[in-house]
Amino acid sequence: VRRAYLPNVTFEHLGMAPAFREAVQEERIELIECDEPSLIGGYRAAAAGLPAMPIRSLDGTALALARPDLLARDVRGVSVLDVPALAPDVVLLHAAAGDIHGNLRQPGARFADKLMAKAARRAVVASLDTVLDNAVIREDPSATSIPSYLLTHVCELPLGAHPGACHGVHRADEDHLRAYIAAAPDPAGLARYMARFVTVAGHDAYLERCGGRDVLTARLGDRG
Amino acid sequence: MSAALSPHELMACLLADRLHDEEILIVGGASTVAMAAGLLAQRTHAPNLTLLTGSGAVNPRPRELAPGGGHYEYLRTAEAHFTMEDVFDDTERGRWDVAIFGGIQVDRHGNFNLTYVGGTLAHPRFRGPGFVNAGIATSAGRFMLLCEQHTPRTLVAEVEFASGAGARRPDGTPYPPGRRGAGPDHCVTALACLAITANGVLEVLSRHPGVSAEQLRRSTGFPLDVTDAVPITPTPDHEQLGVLRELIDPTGTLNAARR
Repeated sequence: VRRAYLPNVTFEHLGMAPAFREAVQEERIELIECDEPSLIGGYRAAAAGLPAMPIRSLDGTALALARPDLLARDVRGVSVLDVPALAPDVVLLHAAAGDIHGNLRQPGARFADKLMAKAARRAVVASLDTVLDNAVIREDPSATSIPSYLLTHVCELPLGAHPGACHGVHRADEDHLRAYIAAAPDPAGLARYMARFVTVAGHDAYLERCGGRDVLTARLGDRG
Repeated sequence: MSAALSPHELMACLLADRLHDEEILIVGGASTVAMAAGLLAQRTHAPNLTLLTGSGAVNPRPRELAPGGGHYEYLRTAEAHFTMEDVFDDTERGRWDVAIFGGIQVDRHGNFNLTYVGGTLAHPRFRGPGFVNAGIATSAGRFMLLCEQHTPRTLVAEVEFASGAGARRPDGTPYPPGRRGAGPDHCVTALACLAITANGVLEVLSRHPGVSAEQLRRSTGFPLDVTDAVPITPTPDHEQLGVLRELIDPTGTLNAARR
């Protein structure tokens, strides 16, 4: 990753994100300062095929000064900043369930998932904890969070959100996250973590390293 | 109810006292204290307060005070969910009445910094978590500040970067006209209750029990006009603390002595 648009990176109550901090402090990534309106506005413009989305909330703030690409203009007497369209080439999503066509079910927070799918230029890939029959999807169409025509690929990936939470399936693995947060400030610790959990031969191997699917499911609950 | 009042319990009660019935409150992901304040206000003097959580829950009724606002417990027990598109609309329109913010630094004008400390924006010595949503500080009706740590490093004269806009810019000059929200009003810390004056500067309203004026001055990175004549913060009454402990936080998330 060379450049990133990130309004916020933390582990919430567990603390700050050590490797993210290091990467920014050592200038290994270029961080585009943004907050939610200046990021979501960009997705909104891209989703609708518009060149930009005007916003008002940042006028005069330090963020507006740090982002000269947010052009100030006057629209019918209102001072706005234009957020340029932000169209990702590839969007990666994870959902609690879905069918093989890409109709997704997300019983918890949906954040900006559907909007990002609409903003994507090329591929929208969803991993699923559980694959459902299309007939099951049809039993309750109101439960479908994102319809299949917005996706290009789906794959079955049980516990695919681990060590994060997947609402409705399992909660976050705080023991794992704490171990990562403790290890990551030290380059050797981060390298050990990467070797043990990231550069492994696929998802099944990762789950085995974390204690195995059954153990994780028993430990992290069946709903989240 | 034998355990001593914890600093987090006190701060939750003080923030709850400053929330009003019928207000729409947004709380972020990191603070269980702010979440507890909203839930407590709903169960006491503000039954028609609307509580929105950063992860998208409307009026949750969690069985316990789950750590982290993104926990499924808040979504599972909510009346409705909202998405980031709703956050965009509500921020731009200024639909929310009140927000509660913290920061790695808060300054005398109520600016808060979530971005960096030391160095410059492009070359930070210490990179913070990031803005989250700076627009809320200018478009919400008002906001309150919560400083769970009250030290000269967290309460500073001028933040190095105003991620969220206070009453005035860090150097004391005014922000441009046209802001819709009223900006910061109260600041609740681990040591004291402060409020923004008409001049746009934080002043001490009360010091918490056991905190001397001298300790408060030493713990603050800007001059405070405070003597031992400043009143002591009233502690929560039996009823309010009972609701907090029995209905909101039965597992003692806010008080290690109760776990």
